[in-house]
Amino acid sequence: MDGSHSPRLFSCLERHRGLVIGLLFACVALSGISLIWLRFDNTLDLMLPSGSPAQRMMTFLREANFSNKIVISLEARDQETAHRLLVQASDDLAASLKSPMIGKVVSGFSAPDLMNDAGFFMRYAPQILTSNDLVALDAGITSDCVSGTVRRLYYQLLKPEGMFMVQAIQSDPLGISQIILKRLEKLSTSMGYDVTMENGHFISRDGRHTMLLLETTVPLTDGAKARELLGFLEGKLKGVPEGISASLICGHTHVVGNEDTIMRDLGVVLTLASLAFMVLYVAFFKDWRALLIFLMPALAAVIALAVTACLFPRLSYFVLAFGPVIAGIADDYGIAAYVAIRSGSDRGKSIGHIVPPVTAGAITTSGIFFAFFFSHIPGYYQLAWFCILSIFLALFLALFVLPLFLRPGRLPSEEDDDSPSFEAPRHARRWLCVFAALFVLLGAIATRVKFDSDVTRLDGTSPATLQAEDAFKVVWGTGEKKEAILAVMGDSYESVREKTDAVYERAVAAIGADRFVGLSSIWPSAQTRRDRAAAWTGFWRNGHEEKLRSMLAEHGAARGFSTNAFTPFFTHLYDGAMLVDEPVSNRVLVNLKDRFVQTPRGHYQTLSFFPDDPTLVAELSKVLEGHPEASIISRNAISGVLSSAFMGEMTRTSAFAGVIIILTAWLFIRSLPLTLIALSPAFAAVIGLLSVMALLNRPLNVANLISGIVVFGLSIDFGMQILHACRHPQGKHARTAVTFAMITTIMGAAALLFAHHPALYSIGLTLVIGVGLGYVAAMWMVPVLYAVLGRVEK
Amino acid sequence: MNICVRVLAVSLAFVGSAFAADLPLLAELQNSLAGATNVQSEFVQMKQLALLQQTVVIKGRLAVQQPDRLSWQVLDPIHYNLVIDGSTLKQWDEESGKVQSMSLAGNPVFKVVVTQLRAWFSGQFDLLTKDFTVETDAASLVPRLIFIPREGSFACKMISRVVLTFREDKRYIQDMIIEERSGDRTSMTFTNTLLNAVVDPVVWEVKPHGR
Repeated sequence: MDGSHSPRLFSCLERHRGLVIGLLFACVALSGISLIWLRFDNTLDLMLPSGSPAQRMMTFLREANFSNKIVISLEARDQETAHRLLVQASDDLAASLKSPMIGKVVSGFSAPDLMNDAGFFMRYAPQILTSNDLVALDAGITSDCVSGTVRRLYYQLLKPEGMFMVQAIQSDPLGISQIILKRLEKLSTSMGYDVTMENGHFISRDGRHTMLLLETTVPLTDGAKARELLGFLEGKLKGVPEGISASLICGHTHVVGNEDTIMRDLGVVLTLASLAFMVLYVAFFKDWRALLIFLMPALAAVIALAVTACLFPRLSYFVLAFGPVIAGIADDYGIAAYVAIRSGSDRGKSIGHIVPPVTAGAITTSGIFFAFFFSHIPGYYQLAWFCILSIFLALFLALFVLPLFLRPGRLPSEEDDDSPSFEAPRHARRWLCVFAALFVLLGAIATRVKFDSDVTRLDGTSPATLQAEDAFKVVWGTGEKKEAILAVMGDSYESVREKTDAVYERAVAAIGADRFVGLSSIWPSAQTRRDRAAAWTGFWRNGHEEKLRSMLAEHGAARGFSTNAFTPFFTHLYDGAMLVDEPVSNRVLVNLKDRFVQTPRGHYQTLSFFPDDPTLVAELSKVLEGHPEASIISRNAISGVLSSAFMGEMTRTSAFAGVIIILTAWLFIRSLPLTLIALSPAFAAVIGLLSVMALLNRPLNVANLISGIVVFGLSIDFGMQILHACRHPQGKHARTAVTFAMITTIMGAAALLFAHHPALYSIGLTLVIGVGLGYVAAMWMVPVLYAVLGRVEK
Repeated sequence: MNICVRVLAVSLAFVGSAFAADLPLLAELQNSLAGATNVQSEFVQMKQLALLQQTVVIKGRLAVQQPDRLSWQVLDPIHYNLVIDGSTLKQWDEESGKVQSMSLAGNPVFKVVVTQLRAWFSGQFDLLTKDFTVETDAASLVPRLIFIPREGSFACKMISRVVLTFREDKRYIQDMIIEERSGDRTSMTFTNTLLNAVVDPVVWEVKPHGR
């Protein structure tokens, strides 16, 4: 790395100038074309540690949280005509939604049909009722209880409802159907939607809205298909009649919205950054060739992005956000090459002089991103590949391609400048005390900064979509109650149902049936139904049938019931114990299974719900010991899980980054005190950054953390260059170089402040504040520290 | 409210919206009943059920106030009150001695109950025509409508027909007969019917009264 081979390499390239430029443009063209197929992953999965509980939880919630569901809410403007118009519009729209992308379309249910299907569960109550239910029935078959039952039935006959209750009283005097109906009601209300059913249509409480529930085959991860799906649906929604407006609620709007925001941001950010760089270079160097300084990192970024996209089919948009940042960092090499050639007389020799320091700078900067390889977060991997490739490509282009376009000898030579490279600051010890006090103060403020682990806040969905969702919640309710989920996994439908039954029984015993909602309560597995049917038959054949028959006859006669009043009950007592196949066309069961049974990635998974209360979560966690197939997903706990996952990752990545950066710095400096001096701007920048975030009352998010590491590395770079200037007379222009590097880096990052996407904005904000503070610390702290401590070393 | 009402509610979910403009008498009666802002009437309900050894006679009072109030009081042989006021349903019975209250807004099932009670006793017959065919009894000297459940409707499984006989002035129902497929029969005769008279506010209270 002494640069002795560089002139030879450069002269070789110079001889084949045309070929080199041709190859470069071919590479850039190919890379540019390949970017047409570039697809970004808008989900946050790539930013979560692989295989971590946090990633499992987020993936589970995305897949379980109705990812294949679409809701269309229709609103009538006129209350008077609302019902008629809504029903018509809903039916017409449902009929028009014919597409391979759309599966089932449900506009509501016919109440009689539903009642008929709900009756199935009442008929087969013997297969559903648990041993506890039989114990309760047994307790009700006493003389006093039966007398009370008969009195209640008689009173029912005298009330308005009695006009339609005769059959029910005769066939079910004990009210067994009521147990089943209660469970059905509980399951149906667990959806959380505030909906009424009128004329077979979902109608909102205010009577002005109806909704259609759609299933789609388009996964959330397929942005292109999601766009096609939304285009199709929006086209159909334009056809709703006058007086009706429609809104679309689904995860796909977030996917497309994020993509649109990112694309818009990309255009704005790249345009702004490019203009700013070009104006800066031309204004500073007063030479149109200075524009090539900007072109080198830009071309490097295009090639690096294409290579990274080949390595990772799903690229995180965080990678893209670092494009202008990298341009701001990597242009330093081009500036160095430009200045060296323009102030020298021989291009090869000039390049040879700058190869060692510039390469050292590139290695140090890459060290920051190299640390990301030690992370478990896939997005960090991608970032590391992209940034390191960009840096080294930009370095190569700056050292060996840029000079091909430059002519030597226009700028004043460094040798002409006889000013000293370092003058010790006055009152250095006092300044050191001031810096130390400031450090302590900022450190105290920094402890107040909070971490926001809610990754959903990094969603770039448009405000219009979010407003539509808020309006939907006002009309229809939240769609999900604040419930935790108990998930049971299995390979086949029956096996997962059997496991769920086992877990259900234990869960109900632990926290009570009122607080635990699961499909097992109304339709258990085939094996469980078989066992329960046998228990039912045994129960009645064991004398209960005769006992109840005689009691009903006795107490019924006293109330005026005829002798055969309850015969239908005994005639059909064992009918429900006959085993039947699962009714695949039963609308109630189909809809319940839709909610409680899922098939993610070819596996079967059942969901049960309970209040998201830490005590209950703890209780059920104990219950699940020894059930590896079952897990609890608590939305309340997710924040903690994410926080711990991120903190763990950040601690490890930061530690690796710290070690790599410090090691690199030490390798170049070979002195512990001087290495610490070089590191001081990095610590000051990070502490300052945290305290500014605390003062701005902005919690740190995952985007801040990534860019925080970059701030750390760049600030060390500044520190090393200023330290170098303090130590060596030939480094007298270091202050100018550092200032220029700071300006270009901040320009690249500041362009991100114009982004609408919260993650991109966060990255920009962190870099602007952090790099700015790192620069200030390098320029003023390093000379003071060197004056007080460095000279001792010397 | 217990399962019976819930089942009743769902069983009554044969709500339709088509207006039977093709039957002049139906429209005429509906218009005539719509002219009354309130109705108060005493009723005698006779239930001839195979389930019971003897015919049960139930006496009570009914009040309907447009647009959304209904009071149903049973005075004999038990005491029971039901009041539907807007979107709230309240009931009291002497067996439990408790007042039970619920909102219909979030309860589609009970909304169906109320819709049905209003349909039959407020004369909103257009709500019934989706699930019933309506015929007039030409032989009757007084206006009479016969509601026969349509094939496939839920009511079809239980009810063979409902006969409504109106007063000669067509301003309110005189009696109602429900004939079930099982042979059971319920009749309800309205007497001392007052139209557009002042309604004592106590009628809309569900607490025990009129004893």
